[in-house]
Amino acid sequence: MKGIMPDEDEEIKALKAKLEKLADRVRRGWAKLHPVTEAQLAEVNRRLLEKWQQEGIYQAEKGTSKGKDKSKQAKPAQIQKPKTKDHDQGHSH
Amino acid sequence: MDPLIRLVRAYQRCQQAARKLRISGKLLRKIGPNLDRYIRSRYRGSAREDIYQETLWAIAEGLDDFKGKTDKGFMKWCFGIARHKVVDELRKGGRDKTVSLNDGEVWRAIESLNSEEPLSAQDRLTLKECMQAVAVVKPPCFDFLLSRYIDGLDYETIGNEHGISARGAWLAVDRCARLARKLLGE
Repeated sequence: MKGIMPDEDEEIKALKAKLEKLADRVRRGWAKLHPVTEAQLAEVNRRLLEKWQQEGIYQAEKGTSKGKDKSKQAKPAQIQKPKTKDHDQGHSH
Repeated sequence: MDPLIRLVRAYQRCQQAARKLRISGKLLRKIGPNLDRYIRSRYRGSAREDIYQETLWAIAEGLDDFKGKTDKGFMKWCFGIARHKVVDELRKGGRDKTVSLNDGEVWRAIESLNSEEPLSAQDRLTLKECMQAVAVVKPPCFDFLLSRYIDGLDYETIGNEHGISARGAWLAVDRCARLARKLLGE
C-alpha cells in the first residue's frame, strides 16, 4: 500500500490508533467469552479421522508412520478415536 | 517463523494421527474465536453455528495443503473460507442477515478482561470514543471499519468483499474514519 496511499492527518492517525487498541481488547475478550468448544473440536476430529481412514493415511500409533504418500501404503492405517489419553486435548486457554 | 505458521508446519510434518489432532485442535482454538466473530458480524440466521462448524472443518481439512508462510496469509486464507461459507448459506436463500455485531456484544468482550486487565478511567473513555466512532457511521462505513479494525482484515480482503480494489478499500476505510471523526466532533 505504501506509496499509493494519501498521507493521513494526525487526528485520523490518532483515531485509527485508538481503533486498533479497541480491536485488540475486543479480540482477546471475544476469545475469552467464545472459545471453541470441545464438541466443535470433537466433530472436526471425527471427520478428520474418517477422511484419513478412507484415504488410508496417518498412523494412530507412534513410530509406524507411513506418511501421506498413498503409493507407499501397504495396507490401510490404523486409526484411533479422537478422545484418547492426550492431555492437551482438554486444555482451553 | 510466525506462531500460527509454526503450528501449521508442525501439523504438516507430523504423520501420527493423534498428534496431528492435538496440533489442529491447538490451532483451531487460537483462530476459532476470530472466525466466530467474523461470521456473527455477517450472518445472524439459524445456520450460524453450522457455518462456523463447517468453517473449522474446512480449515482443518485444508491444513496439509496450506502453502503460505505468514500468519497474516494464514488468517486471510481462514477468513476467506469463512466468507465463502457465509456466502454459500446466503445463496441458499436464508437471508436472515444483519451486518454488524451489536454494541452489547462488543462491550461484553471488552469488559470480560476486567478481572485480569482492569480498564483505567482514561482507557474506558478512549474505548467508548472508539465505539462511538464506529457506531455513528452507517453501512457501508460501519462494515469497512469493522472489517479493518475489529476483524483485522487486510485491504485486499476487504476489497474482495466489497468488489473493489485494495486501494479502493484503503480509501474507503480512510474516508469512513474521517467521517466518524467528523461526526464525533459535531
